[in-house]
Amino acid sequence: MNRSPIRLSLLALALAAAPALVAQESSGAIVGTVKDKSGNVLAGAEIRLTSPALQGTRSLRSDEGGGFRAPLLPPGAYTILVVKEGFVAPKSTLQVGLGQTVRTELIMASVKAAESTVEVIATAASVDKSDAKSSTNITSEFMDLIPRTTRGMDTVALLAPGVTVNNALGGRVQIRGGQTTQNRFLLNGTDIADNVFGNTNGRQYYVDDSVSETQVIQSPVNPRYGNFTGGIINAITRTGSNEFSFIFRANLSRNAWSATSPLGPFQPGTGQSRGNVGVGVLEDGLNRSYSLWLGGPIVKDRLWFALSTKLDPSAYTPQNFNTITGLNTGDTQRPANPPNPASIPPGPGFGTGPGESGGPFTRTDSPKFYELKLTFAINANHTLELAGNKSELPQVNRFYVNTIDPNTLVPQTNDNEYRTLSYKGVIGNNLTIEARYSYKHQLLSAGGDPAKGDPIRARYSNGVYYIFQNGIFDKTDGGDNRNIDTWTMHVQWFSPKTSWGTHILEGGFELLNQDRQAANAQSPTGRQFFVWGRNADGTYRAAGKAEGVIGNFDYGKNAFDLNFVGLYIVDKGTANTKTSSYYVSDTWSLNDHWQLLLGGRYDKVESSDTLGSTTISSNRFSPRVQLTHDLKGDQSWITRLSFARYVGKLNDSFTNLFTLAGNPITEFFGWRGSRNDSLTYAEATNLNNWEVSAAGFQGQTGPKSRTVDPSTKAPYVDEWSLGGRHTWNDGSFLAMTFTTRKWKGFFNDFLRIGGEMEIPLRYIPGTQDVVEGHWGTDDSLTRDYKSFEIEFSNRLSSRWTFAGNYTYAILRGNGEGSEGNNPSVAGDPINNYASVHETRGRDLSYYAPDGYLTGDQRHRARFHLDYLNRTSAGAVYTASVLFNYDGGGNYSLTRGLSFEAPTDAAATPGANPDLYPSSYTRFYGPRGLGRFNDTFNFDLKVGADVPLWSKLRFFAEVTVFNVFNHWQLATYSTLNGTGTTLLTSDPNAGYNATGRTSTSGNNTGFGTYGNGSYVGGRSVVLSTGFKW
Amino acid sequence: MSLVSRLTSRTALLLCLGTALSAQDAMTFQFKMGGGPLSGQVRKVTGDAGYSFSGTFELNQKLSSESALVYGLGYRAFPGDFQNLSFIPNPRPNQPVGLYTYESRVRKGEASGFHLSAMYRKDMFMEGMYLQGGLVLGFYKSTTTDTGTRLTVNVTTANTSGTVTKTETINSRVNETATSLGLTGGLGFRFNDRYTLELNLIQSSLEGVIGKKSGIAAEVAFGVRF
Repeated sequence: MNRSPIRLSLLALALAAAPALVAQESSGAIVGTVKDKSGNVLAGAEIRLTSPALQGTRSLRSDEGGGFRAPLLPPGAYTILVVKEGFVAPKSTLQVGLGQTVRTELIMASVKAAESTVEVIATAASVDKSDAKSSTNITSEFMDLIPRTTRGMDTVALLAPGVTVNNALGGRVQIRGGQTTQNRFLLNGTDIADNVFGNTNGRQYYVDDSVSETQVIQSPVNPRYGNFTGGIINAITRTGSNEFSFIFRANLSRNAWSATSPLGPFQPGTGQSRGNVGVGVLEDGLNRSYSLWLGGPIVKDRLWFALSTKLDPSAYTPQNFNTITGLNTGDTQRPANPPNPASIPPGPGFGTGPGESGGPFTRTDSPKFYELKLTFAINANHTLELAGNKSELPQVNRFYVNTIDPNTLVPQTNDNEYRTLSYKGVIGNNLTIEARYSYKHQLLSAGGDPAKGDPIRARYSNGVYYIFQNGIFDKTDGGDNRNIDTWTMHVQWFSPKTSWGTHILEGGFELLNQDRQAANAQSPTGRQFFVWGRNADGTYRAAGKAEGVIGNFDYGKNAFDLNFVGLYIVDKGTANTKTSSYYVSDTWSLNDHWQLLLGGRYDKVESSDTLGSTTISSNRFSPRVQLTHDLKGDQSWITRLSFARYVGKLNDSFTNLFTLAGNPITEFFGWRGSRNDSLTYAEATNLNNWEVSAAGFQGQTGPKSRTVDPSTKAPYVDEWSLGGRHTWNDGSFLAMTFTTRKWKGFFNDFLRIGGEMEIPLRYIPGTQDVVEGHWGTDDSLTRDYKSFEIEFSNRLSSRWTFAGNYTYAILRGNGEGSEGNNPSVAGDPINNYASVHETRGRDLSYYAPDGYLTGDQRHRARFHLDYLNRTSAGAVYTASVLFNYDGGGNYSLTRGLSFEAPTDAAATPGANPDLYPSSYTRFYGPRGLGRFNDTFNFDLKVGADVPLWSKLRFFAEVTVFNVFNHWQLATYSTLNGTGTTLLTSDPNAGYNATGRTSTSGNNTGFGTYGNGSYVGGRSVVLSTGFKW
Repeated sequence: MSLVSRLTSRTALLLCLGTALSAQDAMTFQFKMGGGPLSGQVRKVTGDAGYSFSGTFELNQKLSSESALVYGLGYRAFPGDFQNLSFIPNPRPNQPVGLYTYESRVRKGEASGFHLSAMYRKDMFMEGMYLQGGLVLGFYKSTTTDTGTRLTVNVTTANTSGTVTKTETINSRVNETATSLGLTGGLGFRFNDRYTLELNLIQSSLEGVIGKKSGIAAEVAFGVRF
């Protein structure tokens, strides 16, 4: 009998979740044992590994126990040939995934036996239990198959269990309950996350077809990983090979291919909106994007290249200037008091032509993208890799602030690039070394041209300032640069096998240096003029000090206060956040059944700027422990229990709060003269006409108003995880994991008042300068996550696979955290002015209750049935149906109420009441009381990849999202009020509504919905091209 | 003990149990995932969302070459859909003198819980096909959340719209638990030693704010045998 070695399909291993060995960021490994048919180990056998992904042949010998280990292998399909005198074995093939250690057993037959009957059996490969992380690997072959058309890191990650978005209808990626700002995004080992937002979809740095494999690491227990409290998304790009190859792809779609949203059953009297018209009815342009990837050898088995580019045409996007409405004076003459609209004719700038209210203009985007990867093998054991990209997105006519003046549209450029150089070396049988330097650069540069003069902002009678003459920001100030340098080194040592088992000792460091250089000039000339109004002839108006309170749109203000000049003090210094991490671990395999990982990581974070200030210096130690039990000693039944602490990173959105670098100080000064109704532009922007002195000083903004406790430490999360996994011989598996996470040490700002003040409010007479926020660590903020995940892959036959995952999760807490799901840092109300609430009988349940956080999603599932047929003629036909189930997000019943803090501040010596918040959010019931509907739908993709000539192939994929056009009501309005005037802040008084009549409108709007509340419309994308 | 903790402890127990039992020919262990539509009054508890899904561990005790007893422990979720129970008209109708209450109320009912089952399974009709039937004991907890606004209007002059004198926020959450014994049965097909596909009907009861309601949960389930 001649039985071929069992081969694992690419698909099966593509979905192989979890248990893989030592955390490798850009490689995998093969371990195994060589035996004869009787089960006796064979020492001294030569194992030769070849792969299209490997330069040359990796050769090694089995040790005395028949074991062998091939670390630092580029992910890909490997052919294994075993050679030993007197024995024969056929070649076997297996797939090595990113970060996985694949275990295989190679069975050799004696030559004599083989002469009579060639019976050579190789057992199936399985992911080795010594992997100390929970992860999901998703290959490019898998992405070719399933109904997805782009390969952003977020799109790919959302196919894995434990990954959600922070909003049920879309948002940023959240891994096992972590904040969306606390994931790591690695591309070829390079941290490409935005310094401020802490996230990216990655597609600014690669072409979709360039991605070889993406690893979603939900729980990387191995201490090699750190600087996150969510998870890690780790992608690598394709390398060249000894054969030339290319992929040219075009993605095409039309709006008409998308279904139009239904309104749903109309409910009279509910105020149901008909405002959303859905898509596909206004424009029907062909949406196109093209890309080209090519790779091959420069020197065979020595030097390979991979190049890619995007060939997207320039995009011309119709835009409109502001439509000016709500005027009650016409703004063609000085506002009357009281206003008399009937007497005021409309002036210029209120038509519909270019440069007028609501007038059209076109924004132009002209993207350019290039990517390169070079792989150089000194020999099969030592490899150097250089990778990087350059991406530019110049835009013309960027619209930033309210305007009807074409002169104020500004150019913008978005640049994204990275470089990485890495070395991987296998030294002897027991030692490996990896080292990497990488650099990521982001630049956002936009702004007006200094030569065009000062921007001037004229206030209209609807209370809105409109900008004229020049745009905001300064296009010559160098832009906003967000850079990350990373140095890493990782060393592994594999101990010989003894009666005490084996050890894998690992150690290394990761040095992260986040730089942010952003002058952030707010004006191309260093100043902006805010004037009281603009006349029909283009002249401007300024109000004098004698002007009194005017219309109700100027509530609490007078005309004089509303014209001022802002002068900007810009510092081009660099803010720097430096993280130094060191780690060590031991993976101790006591025997075939038990394994223990013990490790620890030390992270030190220092935040400073080039102006000499150090704002934060934090350090924490994080232990990592994992106990693994292999029931049968063959990886088929694995049970794991782990504890890990993950220390979060400090994003620039937080650390930059406390530095002048990139945060200009603005000083405001008032108008010097008396009322003037016809100022020319030159007069309005003549600084001599403004009172730039202490007498005219109106205030300032900037980082001087924030402080931080120098002992502030990075937040962390403690995680317990218990999981079981069964793997069958054909690679099918079923895994279940329970995880609980508890976050500690969030940042928060402590705003206090009166007797509870920790720091004095610095009121400087005449300057209105006050300490707005004092930041530090706040253990009273909670965030708890529990989940139960099921992941499976079943090979139904050689062509059919059924796979997927389901996650049941609960995310609770009493605040979103200071770096919550919103990228901008905002403190939670806990500990802010608590005395103001307490003295009025309100506790935390009133203004900061516990409950479900916005990222809570109870059920989430992705199941897919896949068909893959490789014909004898070389054609590949595929089909895949993906079932998406998304639990509804939650909402809270809240309302903004007036706050007594300014009143209390008025009674506090030295405090300026105007600078205290005048409102707070009240919760009715617990946080996340209500929950929107769950939704589900099916996506379909069919594909054909057929040979044309020689190695030239044609492929076409049709992806139909929401194939059944199953529209579902996903959300509805949660507006819960009839107007704030109904309310008082008295907790016990109910909501007295004296004087409220029906003419004020009593339709709450709560529970109403429109087209925009539905999801599930069908849309179609055609992806086609050629491969070589 | 939270739901997740209970789920976990049971899963761990069953995994261990399954591991041990899978080595015995007379006993096999299976994990089954399924979902499908609801029929009957039970739909009303979850706002006519009209479907449920479940995951079940099953222990199969062989009685003969063609028959077996199947014991199951599973978790079933009945997701709910939004119901707009009432709205506040705009403008409000004219009324005689008096106090009136208007509500804008949204309800969301959902349920989930564990079930135990015991079924007799018999191979018949064709190779791989089997029929099964038995009893199911469900412990389902439903949660009904009402949110919205309530206005109190004082009409002092007949046929005027009156004055709003009070507004209140509706924010109630009611939990009810129902235990019920019902019938279950279905048709299954065994593709091979590992995979099965079943069509089952499960008699289910839920207790909501509208009272106890019963119905049938139909489901297509995919099973994997260890």
